[in-house]
Amino acid sequence: MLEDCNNLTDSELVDKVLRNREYFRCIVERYDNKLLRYILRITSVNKEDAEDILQDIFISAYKNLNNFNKDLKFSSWIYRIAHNRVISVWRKAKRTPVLFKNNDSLEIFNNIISKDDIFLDLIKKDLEREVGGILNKLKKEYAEVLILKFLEDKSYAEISDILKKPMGTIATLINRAKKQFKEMIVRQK
Amino acid sequence: MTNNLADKITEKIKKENIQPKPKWVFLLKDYVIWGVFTLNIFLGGLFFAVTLLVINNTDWDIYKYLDGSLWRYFISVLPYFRLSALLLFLFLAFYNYRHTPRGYRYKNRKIIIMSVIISGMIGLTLFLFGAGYKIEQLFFTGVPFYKSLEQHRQEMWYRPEAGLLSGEVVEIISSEKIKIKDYKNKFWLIDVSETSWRGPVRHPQVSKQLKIIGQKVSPKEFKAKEIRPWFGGRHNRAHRK
Repeated sequence: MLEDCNNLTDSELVDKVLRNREYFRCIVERYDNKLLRYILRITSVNKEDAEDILQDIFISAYKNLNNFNKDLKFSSWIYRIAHNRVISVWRKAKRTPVLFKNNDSLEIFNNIISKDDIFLDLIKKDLEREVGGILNKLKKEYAEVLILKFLEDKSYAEISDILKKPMGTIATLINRAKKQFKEMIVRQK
Repeated sequence: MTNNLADKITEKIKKENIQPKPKWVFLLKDYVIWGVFTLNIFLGGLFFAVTLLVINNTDWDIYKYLDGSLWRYFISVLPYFRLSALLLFLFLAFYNYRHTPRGYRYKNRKIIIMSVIISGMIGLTLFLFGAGYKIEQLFFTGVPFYKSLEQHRQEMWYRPEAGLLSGEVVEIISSEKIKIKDYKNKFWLIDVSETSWRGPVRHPQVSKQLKIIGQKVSPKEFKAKEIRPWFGGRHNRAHRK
């Protein structure tokens, strides 16, 4: 009989799984929706394919559980596995993914542009249509950091751990991504 | 989806008897990366030491016996192979550090500066304790192509018409005359009566390699004004015999 997982931290859960694999179910249940949404955001695959990828991610996480370092947040560690898995899917497909869905575009846009921003007026009209197009034109690395920052709500330190890049580089990437995003809006207008 | 996926995954784990990889596999990988990083830093230090040795032993004043351009001389005497090896090992150290578990957290610039400082300190320590010369000699005997690196230097010091000669002492005829064999196996009679000695060698010794500045007197005779050891001199003060 499994103990209630809800009161356990991720780290405690990992220790439990290493003693009793049945507890891995709790990790899956805790992260499956988040990771599925993440996969759908950064790839152009359909839901069924995304679920297959998700299953691979969890199996990979289970196999590498002893490599989880408690200095990291477990969520950063499993997002890193997801990120790497998606990269290998891209490589196999040999095509650039369509990164954003329109509903995400609107959300990310609202997060990037502050309310007193001079661009606010520009975005009021036919926002969704234009923004979706612009986001898909962004460089892949810019799009990735924007997804993690503004959609997955990750901190700079977490993004650094997920993408395995220094925090300073992450900050630079986010700033450049925002700048490029705004420039594209202006150009489009 | 949650229960369905969790069921599928736990079922797959059981059915295929999937196990987490043992901890030692990951620890071993980390230790190997750290070990290779340390090795590269140390090898970088060795080449730092020999680079310092070569630069320290370069005769910066002989350009005037050549074509008179200090800049061209500087370009021609830089120890390119040792510098390339130093850069290679620093790059490998950087690459390995990047692949350590937390290596990604530091900027490239920081890792490179740190690697240069550590290798530089090792190299400087080895050089100051005289190990640079021993390492250079080890490379000479152990690395097949290493001797060919000396050819350029030998050619530079084989210009009797311009007043430069080098070779190995084969006979001490008197306190004023010695016989040397140059790198083309030609014998020369050297007049050392009015020469100044530089470096730790203060008198001729058989089988010592010497560099001589002076004047060609005849096709087989050379009058020395200054004699320096071929390599390894840690002091460069002139000393008149």
